[in-house]
Amino acid sequence: MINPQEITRHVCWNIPLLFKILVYVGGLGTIALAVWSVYQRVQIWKKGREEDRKDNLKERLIFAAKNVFFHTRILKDQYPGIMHLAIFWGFLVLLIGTILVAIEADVPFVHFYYGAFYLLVSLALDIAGLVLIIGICMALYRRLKEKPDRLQPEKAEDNLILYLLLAVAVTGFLTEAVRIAAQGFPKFELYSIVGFILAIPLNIVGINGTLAHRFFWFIHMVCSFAFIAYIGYSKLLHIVVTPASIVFRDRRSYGVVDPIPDMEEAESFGLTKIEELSWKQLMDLDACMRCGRCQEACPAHSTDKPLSPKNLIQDLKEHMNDRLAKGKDPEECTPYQKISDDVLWACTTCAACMEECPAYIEHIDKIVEMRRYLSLMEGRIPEELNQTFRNMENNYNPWGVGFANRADWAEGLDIPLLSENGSAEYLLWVGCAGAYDDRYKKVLKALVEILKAANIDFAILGTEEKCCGDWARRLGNEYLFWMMAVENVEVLNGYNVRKVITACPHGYHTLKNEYPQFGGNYQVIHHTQLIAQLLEEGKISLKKSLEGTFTYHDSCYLGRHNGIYDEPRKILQRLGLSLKEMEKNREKGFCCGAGGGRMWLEEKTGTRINYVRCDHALALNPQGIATACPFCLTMFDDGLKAKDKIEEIQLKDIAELVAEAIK
Amino acid sequence: MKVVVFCKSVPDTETRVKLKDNRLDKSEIKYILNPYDEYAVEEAVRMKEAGKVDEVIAISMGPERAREALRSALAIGADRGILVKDDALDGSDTYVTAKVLVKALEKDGVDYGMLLFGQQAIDGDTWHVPGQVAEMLGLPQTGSIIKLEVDPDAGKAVANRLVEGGEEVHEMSLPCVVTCRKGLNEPRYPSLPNIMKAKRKPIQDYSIADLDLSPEEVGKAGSFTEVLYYSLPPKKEAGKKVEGEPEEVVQALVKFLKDEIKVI
Amino acid sequence: MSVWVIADQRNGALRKPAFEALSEGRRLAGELGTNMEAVIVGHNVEGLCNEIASYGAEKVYLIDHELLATYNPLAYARAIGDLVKEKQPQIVLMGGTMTGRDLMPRIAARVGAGLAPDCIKLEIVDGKLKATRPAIAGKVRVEIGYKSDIQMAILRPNVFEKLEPDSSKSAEVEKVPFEPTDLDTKQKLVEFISKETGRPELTEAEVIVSGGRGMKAPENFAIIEELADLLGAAVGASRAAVDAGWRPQSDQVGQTGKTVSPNLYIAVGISGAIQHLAGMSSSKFIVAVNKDPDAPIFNVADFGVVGDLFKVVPLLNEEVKKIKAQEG
Repeated sequence: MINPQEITRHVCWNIPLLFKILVYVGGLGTIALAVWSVYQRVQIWKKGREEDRKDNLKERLIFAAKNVFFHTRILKDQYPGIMHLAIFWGFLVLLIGTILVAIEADVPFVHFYYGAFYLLVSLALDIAGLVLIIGICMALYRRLKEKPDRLQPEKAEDNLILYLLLAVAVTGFLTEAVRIAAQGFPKFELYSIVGFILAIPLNIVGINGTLAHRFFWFIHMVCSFAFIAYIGYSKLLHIVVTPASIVFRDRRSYGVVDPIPDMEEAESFGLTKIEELSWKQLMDLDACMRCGRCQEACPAHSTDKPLSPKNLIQDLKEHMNDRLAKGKDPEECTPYQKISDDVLWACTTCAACMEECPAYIEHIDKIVEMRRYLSLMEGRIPEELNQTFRNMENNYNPWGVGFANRADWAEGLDIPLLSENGSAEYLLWVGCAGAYDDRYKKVLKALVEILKAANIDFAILGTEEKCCGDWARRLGNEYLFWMMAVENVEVLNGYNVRKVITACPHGYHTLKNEYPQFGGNYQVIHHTQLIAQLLEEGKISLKKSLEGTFTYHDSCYLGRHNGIYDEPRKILQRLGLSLKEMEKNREKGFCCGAGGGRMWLEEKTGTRINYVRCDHALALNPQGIATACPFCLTMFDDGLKAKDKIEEIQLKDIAELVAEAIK
Repeated sequence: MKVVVFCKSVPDTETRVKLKDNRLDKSEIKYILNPYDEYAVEEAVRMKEAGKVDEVIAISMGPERAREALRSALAIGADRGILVKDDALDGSDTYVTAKVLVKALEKDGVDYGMLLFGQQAIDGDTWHVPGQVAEMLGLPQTGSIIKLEVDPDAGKAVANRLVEGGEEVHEMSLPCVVTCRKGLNEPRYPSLPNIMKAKRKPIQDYSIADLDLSPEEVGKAGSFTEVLYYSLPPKKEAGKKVEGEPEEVVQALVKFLKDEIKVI
Repeated sequence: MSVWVIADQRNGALRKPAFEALSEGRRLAGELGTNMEAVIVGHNVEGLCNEIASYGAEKVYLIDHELLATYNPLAYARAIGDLVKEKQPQIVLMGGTMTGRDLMPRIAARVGAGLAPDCIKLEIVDGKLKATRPAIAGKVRVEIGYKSDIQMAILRPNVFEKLEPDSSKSAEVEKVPFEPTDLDTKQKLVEFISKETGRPELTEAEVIVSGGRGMKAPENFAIIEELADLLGAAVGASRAAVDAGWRPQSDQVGQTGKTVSPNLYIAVGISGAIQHLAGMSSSKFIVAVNKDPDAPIFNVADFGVVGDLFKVVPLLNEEVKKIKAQEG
């Protein structure tokens, strides 16, 4: 029986005092350097605007912990997810091991590194080291052999970090292996399985002496310190910054944008100087690891528009460093020198980028801030928008149809007006499309039939309703948005509106998530939510079953922005339709192309986003396509017409299908 | 050189016209700066940006809502405004309007090199005021311009005027009068700081007393013409829709084009 | 207390609105039981007096001078205005050409008389002129009464009937002297750029013929172009046709294209989705040809033809050609 006390190794066996001193000096030195680098970055972020992100701190920390330790988001992409998980856990376990060893070695009166504990830890560390090396090799393979698009362009640091970390891991094993050989292969060292096995060939070629041990030990130390020192000067900083970015993430729906405070008094609007971004927005720029998942998911990028969310963040980061680290003059150095107008206008605010980003970086708010600068400060907008903005100013809708005609669609339908009745349980928010677009009027009429069949007490605002303003805000015209929002809220609050039903996801999103910014707090329900509920509760009954294979397109503003994926699908299934899913659905849904105000803009480069999405649908050979949004409906309509498929395929809003089935 | 741009507050083009007691029902109307005047303001501001003009003054005769029209002009880039507002002006015809505007110019004392107008106001559609002002001041004029070149130092301007079948090119000595129309320029979308600044730019108010005019000289009393009656044009028959043999439908269509629209 | 008509001439030829004005002037003079007299301004235009006489003018005032060869607002207004002040006719009419609309306000200001523009109807009520004219882009009709002794009116072209000229008629010609002053030299028409060739510009055209998805192929736009040329119209396109590459972006009418407001918009094979309507809904008259009876365009069309455009439009072109040949 071996004495447990003997099942151990003498930490820093064979290491001369000089080396030990170097370890501590170097260790503390490089750690201090790393901390100093972090501190410097923090100083730069602090130059940004104040922002309170400390609400719900407990939830924030737990959420971040889940992401950091369980890689919840990173694992959504299998290969790189597993690869990083291996590197992370491999490294973390080794780090813990190193700390344990340091405590054992230097904290007096503490002695635990022996016996069963020693064996357990040895095994764990060896497995961790192996896992780490596997992870790094997976990464090197990806970078050197596969060379995925989304990782381009690469920087020197990308592979350098991998080589460095690999060197640390390999030299670690080499050191252990030589030690085991030099110590004569103690049997219990089998638990350091990798080192033990590696020791065998080394022993055979004679690399088994104390000198070799010191040699590898020294190299291992140098590599480790190089690694730690490099933290402050490379993307290794993400070790600190990315978890912080997750902790302080925006907990609201993706597309929510903050208002411009003090519109009346403000002298500048939108992003004129980088320090106008908040500290969190600046931190975002450092949290980006150029993984490119955002770029890959971006519908604009994949249709050859000049926008890449990754490049946008990187360009802003470079600019931030130019201005706040190098101190360049804001008059001479502006974000718009690197980021062209076209890049900014190409975004549909679909938030596919934000859904993918493992660092929870917020791309949309930065794009909107910059669009605000273009729209409000410079008036530098795409030509088409001139008329659209004027239409909104003069007639409160983007098409410029007379505001006095806003209730014409309801003529003869016996729909109560809030101005006549004074109140109703629900306000039906018609929206501009429902009021003026012939195609969407049909959807509203179908919805009204459903509401009446369910005996819902509702009314409309008629000519008192103005455009919700969503698209104006997304395009950066916060002033125009503000006018609409403030006036709408006044009317809604004047009638004491509590519950709102809407057929348009953009109206839904804006009224629910953004009108509170202006004093409008309502319970907003999307028509698919309502219909699903009515079917559940039996308040409407389906008189017939519909036949056919349908596919459902997730509207970005309903889906990713507000998490409504199931209700529309439940409805379609209840209707008896056979449901097939397109590639890229639900959280990974591919935008129709009309969001972010792009409905009002010409697509001048690349392939049309809506054509691509139509292709996704057509690939399923469906009999019909169902949507829940007027913009999506229009985009599919255009796309199907262009592909000459409009006759063959039924393109319907969910409300239309339900209205058909309840007759 | 200083220029003066004449602005009018008019109902938006999409306005549904309603009549009440033989007057226009103004309750549901959104008022805007006359779109034709926007071309004039834009042109004046561009001349300023090109260094040819050092001050752009926007002037309007109208009720209080005309102030908003002036603010729009100021947001585009005019420097200051003049508003002639007086209840007695109600019912003024174009002659009186021209007279009043001329008096306001005199009262202000601005030494103008050019007077710019929109070709027409989209409510009145008369095209009168610019010519009447020009005649009262003895100035050369070119109306409906789609191109303008100015040489303040030489005291000359050359303007291209759109007429039937082509363009007339007129050379004028300054000061002169021009009326602007679509095709002259593309009015800018004013930046928000400019909109905000416009709120603080000065607008000088004048009443008719300030202009040494008596109530009898303005308004209905001073006008040469008066509106006797408003009516809505015969309701456009809810579009005819014809279906049938191509020969038949074409005959019906040709009749429509020939007799009702008189385009053939 | 005669009725005067200012006869607009250009390059030595009287213009169509002048004949309409002379005809209406003759009619009003008849109602008032007075003379119709004409004023003609220009250089070397004496020859036009006979033609003016053939429309029933009893007298023609001829103001002929080198300086008046081309349109000069200052000189023309002075010459005519001073003559009006001297002779004090009761009514002064002119056709609503660009010259007419430019000149008459100056004359009215000089004379101190009431003026009604763009008139579509003239009547004598209680011995005075009453004019009816559209306003607010034609959304309202206004009846104008006069308080001044001299009543002036500009007539909208293509509204009033042109009489049959009677070449046997003659008129007294009074040559009015014209003394140029410094004022007259402040302006000069230096060039006329003719645009008779080619189609009108989309945003300025009176008539537009537009093709949409229903055209199916770029070659088929030939029938659209033919119709446009027959009507002196511009050619437009819906977004679908532009996206398909059949027509250039500059032809696009709609939300993200051009906004037009012609007198007549003919939409061929265009469904009339709101994005298109946003660009042409303010057209005075809309004609649509579409095979789908439910196409939204029919909701805004004054005249809709439900049918196959490939049959309807060529047939229409034939008919128009026939009528034009008849009219000579």
